[in-house]
Amino acid sequence: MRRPRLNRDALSTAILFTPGFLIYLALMILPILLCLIYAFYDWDGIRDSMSFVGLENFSEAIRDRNLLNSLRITAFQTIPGTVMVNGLGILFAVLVNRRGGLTNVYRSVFFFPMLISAVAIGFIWKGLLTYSGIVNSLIVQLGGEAIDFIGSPRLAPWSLLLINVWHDTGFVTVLYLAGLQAISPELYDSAKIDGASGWQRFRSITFPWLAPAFTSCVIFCFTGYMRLYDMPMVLTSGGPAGATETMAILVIRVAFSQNKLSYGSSLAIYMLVIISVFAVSLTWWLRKREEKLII
Amino acid sequence: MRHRERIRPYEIPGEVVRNVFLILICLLFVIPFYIAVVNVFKTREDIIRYPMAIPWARLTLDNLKRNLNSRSFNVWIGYGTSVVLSSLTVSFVVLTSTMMSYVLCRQKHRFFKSAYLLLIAGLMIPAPVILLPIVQVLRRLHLMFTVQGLLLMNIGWYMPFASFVFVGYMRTISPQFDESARIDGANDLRIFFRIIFPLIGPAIASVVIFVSLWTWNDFVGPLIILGSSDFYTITIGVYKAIGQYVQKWEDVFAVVFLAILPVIVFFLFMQKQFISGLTSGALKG
Repeated sequence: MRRPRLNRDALSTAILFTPGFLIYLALMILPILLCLIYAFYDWDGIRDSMSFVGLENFSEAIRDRNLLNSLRITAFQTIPGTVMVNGLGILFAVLVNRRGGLTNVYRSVFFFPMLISAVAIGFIWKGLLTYSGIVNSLIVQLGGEAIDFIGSPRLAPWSLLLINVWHDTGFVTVLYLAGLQAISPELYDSAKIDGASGWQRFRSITFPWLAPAFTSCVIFCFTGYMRLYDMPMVLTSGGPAGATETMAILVIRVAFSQNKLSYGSSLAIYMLVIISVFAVSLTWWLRKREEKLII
Repeated sequence: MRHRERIRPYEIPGEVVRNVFLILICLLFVIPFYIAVVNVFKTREDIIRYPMAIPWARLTLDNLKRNLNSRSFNVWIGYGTSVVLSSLTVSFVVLTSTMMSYVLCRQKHRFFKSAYLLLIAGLMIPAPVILLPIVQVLRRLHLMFTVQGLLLMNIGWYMPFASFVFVGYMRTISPQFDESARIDGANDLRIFFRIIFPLIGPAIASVVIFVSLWTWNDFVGPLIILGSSDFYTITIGVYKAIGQYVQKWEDVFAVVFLAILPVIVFFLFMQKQFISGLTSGALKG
């Protein structure tokens, strides 16, 4: 039985749906496709001529030492970074979680650094850690020797890692805190009555119930660090000697500063594939774990 | 109803240790900002000699005055561009994304389910993959080095996140509302604007806070797309003013201070809304 209002309904649904979706297709999906297409040519982004080169860019990229270097550097920022931020985040959240007292003060202080842009944080820490910076002048005043925190290729990645952890842990703590506060206290009460110790309570109640927050936070950190650009760029411009050149910094440098748009596009595609594979597997694995823990 | 947990006497040492530890951690978070802010108002000699102290007699506003409108950096252009960009991005994103999310949330057809997956996939796309081609597209449209061009890129970029939040939130609104309105003869448009939109306030607040903050702090986008334009966001303005060599700390800290001051002020006044808006939005799904 045909409903006479069908066409008008469909039209109104279309009006709601189409603008947003068209914007997404045109401004996100289309560029990805274009990126893929560029990678098959040898365009520099400026000249009007370009020729099809097939998989040449991709095969050259896979042997590119800069790409492998950036993969190593990105992994060094991502894996320890995610582990530290989430480990500390859960620890701090458990410590902060009380009713009353200074809890809200702690929460605001922890939350605050995340609001500040990576550029501002980067310059502040640069002023602190640079060889002639504030931390070193304090060290020297106390009789020690200045340390090249961000000028040494050996120390720079560590400085970057720790600054990132400093920047993000507070925010993650606040997220976990919200997750903790959603756990009903009766669970803890009955566990205490049964004689469970603090650690046992954490393992059987707290950690399982934090699983959804854990999934969100880990994915958020992981994908964020894999795409890291702002902080290393401001702190050391990807240096010294490429010691902090993450994948994103490499791709942008190749495509824009070196005017190798097509080659840069192939690097970008590799970056997209790597991140997608890791993000999807990690999400799938964490969600499975979530389901097992919260039956 | 909140009530303080009674602290039993044997728990006092534990409480003291816990709070001391947490206060130390708080200091760790606060001290770099303290150093940055305190040194804005000191002369260079004072910064070098006493980085952590506050020489009350010798405080000065010179650093700030010098950097408000120097040759390379006009803080008002920075603020203005950032405010315009943030507000326009947020407006477009919220409007189009709420409408689309309503459809994505209610329609059961496979097309819409796939469309939603496609949108969520956008959450993990790295910026370079979008930036490289968008520069070419904007160039063809003569929108490179313009705020409008950057605005276009921003709107697309935040659609996945906004849709994620809105769909998640709308799923908690009972379809009964839709059904009763539909029986009365309303179509989707009317249901959306009359019923759904008024109900998603908290989700909109979350998205507004997140997207304005991220747009304000955005670095790569304006760096590449605005480039050497006459307009710069406050973040890029700071970056260009300081450049690669950080020697004149009194200027560095002054400029950084100008950049973060609006955010600090906002935060101090709206702490509660900030935190609840962000945590409720981020924990959905």
